[in-house]
Amino acid sequence: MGKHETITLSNSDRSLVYRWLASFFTSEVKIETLESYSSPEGRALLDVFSQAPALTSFTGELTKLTELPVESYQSKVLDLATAYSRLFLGVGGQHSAPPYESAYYNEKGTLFQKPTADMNKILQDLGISIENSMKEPADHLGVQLNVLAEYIDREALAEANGDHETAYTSHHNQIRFLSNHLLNWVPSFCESCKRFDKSDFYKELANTLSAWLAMDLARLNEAKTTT
Amino acid sequence: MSKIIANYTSRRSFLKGASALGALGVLAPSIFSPRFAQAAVNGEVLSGCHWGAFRAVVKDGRWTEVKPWEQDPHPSHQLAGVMDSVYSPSRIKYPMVRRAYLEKGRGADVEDRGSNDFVRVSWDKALDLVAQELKYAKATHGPRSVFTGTYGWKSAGKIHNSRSLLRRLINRGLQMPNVTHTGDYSTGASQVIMPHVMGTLEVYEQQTVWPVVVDNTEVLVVWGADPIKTNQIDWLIADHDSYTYLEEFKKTGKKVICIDPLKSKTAEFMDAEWVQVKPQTDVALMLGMAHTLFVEELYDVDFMDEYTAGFEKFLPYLTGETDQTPKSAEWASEICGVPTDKIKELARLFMGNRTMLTSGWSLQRQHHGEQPHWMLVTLASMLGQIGLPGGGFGLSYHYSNGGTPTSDGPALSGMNDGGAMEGSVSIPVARVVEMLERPGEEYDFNGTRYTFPDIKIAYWAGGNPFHHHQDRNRMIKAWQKLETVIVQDYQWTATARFADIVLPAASAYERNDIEAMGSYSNKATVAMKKIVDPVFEARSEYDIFVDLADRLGNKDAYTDGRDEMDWVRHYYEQAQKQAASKNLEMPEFEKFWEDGIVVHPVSQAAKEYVRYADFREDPLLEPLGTPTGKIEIYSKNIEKMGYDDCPPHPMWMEPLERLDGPDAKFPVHVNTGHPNDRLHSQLCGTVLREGYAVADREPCMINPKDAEARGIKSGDVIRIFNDRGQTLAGAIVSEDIMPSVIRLYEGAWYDPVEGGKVGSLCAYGDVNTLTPDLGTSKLAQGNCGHTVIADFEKFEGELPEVKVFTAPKNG
Repeated sequence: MGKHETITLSNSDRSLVYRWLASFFTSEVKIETLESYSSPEGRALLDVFSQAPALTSFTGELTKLTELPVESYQSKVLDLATAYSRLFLGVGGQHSAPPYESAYYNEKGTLFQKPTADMNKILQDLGISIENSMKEPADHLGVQLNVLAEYIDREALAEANGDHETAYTSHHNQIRFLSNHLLNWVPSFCESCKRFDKSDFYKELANTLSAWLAMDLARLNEAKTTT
Repeated sequence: MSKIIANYTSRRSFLKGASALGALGVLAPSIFSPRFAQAAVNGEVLSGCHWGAFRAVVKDGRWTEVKPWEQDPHPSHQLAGVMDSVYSPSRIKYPMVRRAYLEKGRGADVEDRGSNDFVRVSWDKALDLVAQELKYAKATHGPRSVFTGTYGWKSAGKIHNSRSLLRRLINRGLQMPNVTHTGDYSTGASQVIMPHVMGTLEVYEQQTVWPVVVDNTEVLVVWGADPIKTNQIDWLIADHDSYTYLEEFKKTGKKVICIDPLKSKTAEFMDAEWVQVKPQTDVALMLGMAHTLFVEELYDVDFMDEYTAGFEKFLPYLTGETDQTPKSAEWASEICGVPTDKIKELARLFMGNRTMLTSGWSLQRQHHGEQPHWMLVTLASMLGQIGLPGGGFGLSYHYSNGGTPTSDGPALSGMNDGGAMEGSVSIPVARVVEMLERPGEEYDFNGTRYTFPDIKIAYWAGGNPFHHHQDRNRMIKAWQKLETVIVQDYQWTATARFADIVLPAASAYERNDIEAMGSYSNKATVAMKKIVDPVFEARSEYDIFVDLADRLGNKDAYTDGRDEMDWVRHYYEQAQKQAASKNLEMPEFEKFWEDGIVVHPVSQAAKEYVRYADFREDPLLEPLGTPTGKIEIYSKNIEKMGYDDCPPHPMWMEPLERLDGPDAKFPVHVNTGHPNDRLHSQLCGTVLREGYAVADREPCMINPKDAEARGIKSGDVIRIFNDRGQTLAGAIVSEDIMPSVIRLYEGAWYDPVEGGKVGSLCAYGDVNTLTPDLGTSKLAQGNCGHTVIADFEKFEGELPEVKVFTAPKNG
């Protein structure tokens, strides 16, 4: 592990990572996205993310993109958008990776099943809802990763306010949510991404997501068991 | 406890520096708003569809259960698939544009169509593109450059009628002469020949009603039809009332005979006698019967004299005087495979009993498809029972529950095309590929010569030609002629995959509409209430077209100032007025909308309706709509056309190819009948498929003799092939099909192993990879989906995966 062993994550880092990962599932990579990552701030962000072992492979992919000549951005973005449509928007038919928990809840991949209902309830309990512009069901991977970020932020806020009870609940919500709503299907989802992605980008994103979730759950449990 | 967590959270932020960066808001945005979601919707909604009326249970805004309407006597098992289709992974979720098209514009890399390279765009972008292309077509290519034929079983509903709405867009929005279609893939040949013979379409007319058949018919013949299977669906909302009558008929114990290469569901249900006939030889079989009736002097001479015209010109052909070939039972038996004695026995049986000859449309969906129903009418005439209770013939007992008594309810009108502009044209629907191949060239149709238009843009809304059209490989090539293909649908059909611009339409269950129940019964008026909101970015047909009309600068002309619910109310109130004029009371709109359905009364007269009773009673005062006013066994109008492929009286003619035909290149016939668990290609991507797929493929039924000869057993994957194409399928070995005939239902989704490539193997089982694309004749130009021979073998290679349905195999 070398120098990475010393890297630890605060809750604000973790929620940021979740939202950052989610952003690649909720929308295609745009020209503006590439421009942001090639800006000094973007590069700085990739630099620090790359220090977390779980994130390295994907930050590597992003770095490669930023090193492309600007005039090739348009075509690269279309390559990625095509890969995104095939994998996540159903164009690939059975050769796709539907980013919905429901799709893995039943043999057939039917959407809007119990996981959608469960997720709606969770959002309701959190007192939040999905932005109007996003027309996805609540069991979309991007939503779920954001929910986890939300739990993390709430733990940090409670902690800052000295509300240890709420912080404790939020901490346990993270463990429960990871186990019940992410790790129950994301490994299958990631397998499909790896199998069917025709760009390396989403393959690496999937690798990174799996590694990150596994690592984060271990860390959460570690924090719990040392109680 | 809290100490540990505090310790955990107080670890130094490795992102401390980066967190401060402005970029983070962009690169890792939150997607939530700090507010409660809207109260979830719960309850039960009554609605309807091609498969019947039903109640949808909605929980927390999700459709969770479908229950048939309580008064449906025989609900279709396909209802489960209807609900499933809404949440199917094969839904089109967002507007999409083919990548090369987006990058390089119209006509770009057309050979790339079907290879699934799509990019999501915003609705604004997609609609701007469509409007821009329509304006371009008008400005650059002028009238008749946009094809709005958009054939297919659009969803039920009088407002969101995608076919009318699309034409309305060209007529009132773009204001340009359009190109549409005439006829359909169901009855292409029959609906053109029958007006010459009977003076009406016949295929879409009310039949002698079932109660009369149950009481009076002694022998019920079901010829190339399977009402138990096909009456599950209706062009409007299915009533399923024919099932009750079929059960009643069965209880009488009277004779039912199914003439079919397959043991149909109906044969099974009715305990019928199954007469196996070689496919495409029905005319020969009928001629054999007619000959028997003639030589045995059994036929009804008086009926022929009084009610028919031209029999004397047909007789020399029947007897062989003109061609030295008497069309005897022996002659017929050689061709159709039915034993001579059986042919004679059937002729005598029909003659000696009140016989109803019901026929399906499979007989006419083949080369020279004009002849079988013409010959059936000739045979029925010789039996002399047309116009008698329970006798004669019927061409629609298997469709939309034909023969169910018609109510007194008002006719429900619906969205119209806004009036086609002068100069608009139509083509026979199944000649669409030929139209693309031969722009500016002439073709024959029903006595007139027409010119094929030069189409640049095709817009399909609510149809799937890459399922229903024949000869897939020829079609893929022809499609490349189009500069722009726009497809509006709610599922990723093969047609959508071959498009440039794909617009996600809401399903029929995500919008408000109104529809009649029962194409023949007009049993009720049904409120098709929205069950759930459109999923993802899907939008209703009406909304999409209104936005396009707006972009073309003609929104007001398009909408007439009405929104969705204004139209629903408008058509209901028109029906209400019409009802009032018949002294029939219908509730106020609000009450109707709340109740969800108004069932109309049925008169005693309707329950006693006998087709052609008036004509029989008084042929002079109630003549048929033919030139002679009689049943035309010989048509002078057709004689004048001088077509070599449609003579002026019914005749046996060799089709392009047939089982055991002269020079047959392949040893088996492929039966392409309507599926039992789908409506054509609709619902192929749903849960219903689990009930019938074999080795994940479309099932193909094979007689044990043919299977054994090829070392095939049930469950094997087979490859079916001929000189036009090839497809895989899953074998079912069964005695329910005659030897040398295999059955692969139409409507299986095309799933090319190499998307877009001409000649690619279909991994799932699209039978139209094998069928020929030719007109039935110059008269009707109907499709020939049943004219197909092929060979098959056990598939031994590396099995390509089925990928047309989004059904991930969990990692």
